Amino acid sequence: MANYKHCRVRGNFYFEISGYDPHTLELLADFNTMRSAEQRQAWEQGVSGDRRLTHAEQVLAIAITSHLNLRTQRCFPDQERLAARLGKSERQISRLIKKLEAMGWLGVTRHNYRGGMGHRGQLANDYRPLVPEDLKDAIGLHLADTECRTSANRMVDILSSNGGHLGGHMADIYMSDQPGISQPVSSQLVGQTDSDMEDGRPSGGERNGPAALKQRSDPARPSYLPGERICSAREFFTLPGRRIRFYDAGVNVDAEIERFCCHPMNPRARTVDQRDQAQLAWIANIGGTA
Amino acid sequence: MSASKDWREAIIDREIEAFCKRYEGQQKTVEEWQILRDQLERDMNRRYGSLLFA
Repeated sequence: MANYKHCRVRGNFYFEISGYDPHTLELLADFNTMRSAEQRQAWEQGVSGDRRLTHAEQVLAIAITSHLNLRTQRCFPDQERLAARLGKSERQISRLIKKLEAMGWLGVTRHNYRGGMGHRGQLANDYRPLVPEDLKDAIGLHLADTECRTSANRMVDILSSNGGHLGGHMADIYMSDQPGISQPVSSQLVGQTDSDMEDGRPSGGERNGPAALKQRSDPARPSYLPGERICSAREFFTLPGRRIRFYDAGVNVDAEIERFCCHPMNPRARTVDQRDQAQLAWIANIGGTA
Repeated sequence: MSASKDWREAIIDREIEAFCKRYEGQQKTVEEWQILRDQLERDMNRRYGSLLFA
């Protein structure tokens, strides 16, 4: 017990999660039934890493699941055979199985039967490998934490490789001739003004040098991570759920258009035939750009 | 589809077209495009007075 090491992840005081590779952890976290040799290997690694179990219990668990038929999911070694293999008594085997069951690594279905003439006995138990639920939760938290850290590190890499910007183009969005629109973020960062800009982007500065600018405007720049999806703006908007949505704030847009079109100060809306032109004018009015 | 919805779709099409033209030839990750898209959405909200878009 003194060797138990407390880990950062909640409920993980008996299992050193960081000692396992992510794929094994994913297999353990998603473990439902043992259907493949890969799952068997991950499960055996999991059992052997449980510090609550003694060496005999770990060996017994692996010995029991070695009888598992991956296709039929049947696993019913008799305790006499297990006792012979492990060099223990049947009573000891029964006690160890109960411990494995209590720890959540093994599910046991016991078959009792009652024969004729008052004869009673017990068929071999059915066993199924399991993974403790609290360990699944702990692994899930660990994987989520790792994913967050990876994303955060990647974001830092992106920012540092682009002179403090996400690609340097976020600032371009703020470039607008509309009144009340803020100055570009890039100019705030490097202390520049609009007049210092070239093509809407900062022209100089320590964090916005020629190399950073070249990387930002390079259309064929490499991916930040292997397997990361790179696409153009048009391809992006064809992805599901990326289109800009309507916002229904209870405003009757039809009534707004009608009011504008019929306003006496709008000379183009005095006749019904000119309604289309009036609607176009309304769109140009609210959009700022026709 | 009502007339106003048609107009709103037309506005969205116009803004997306302008966005695509602005970043013509550039390749970015989906996450980066999503950030730029959200910025565009906010900018449109400012310009259209929060009337049409979210």
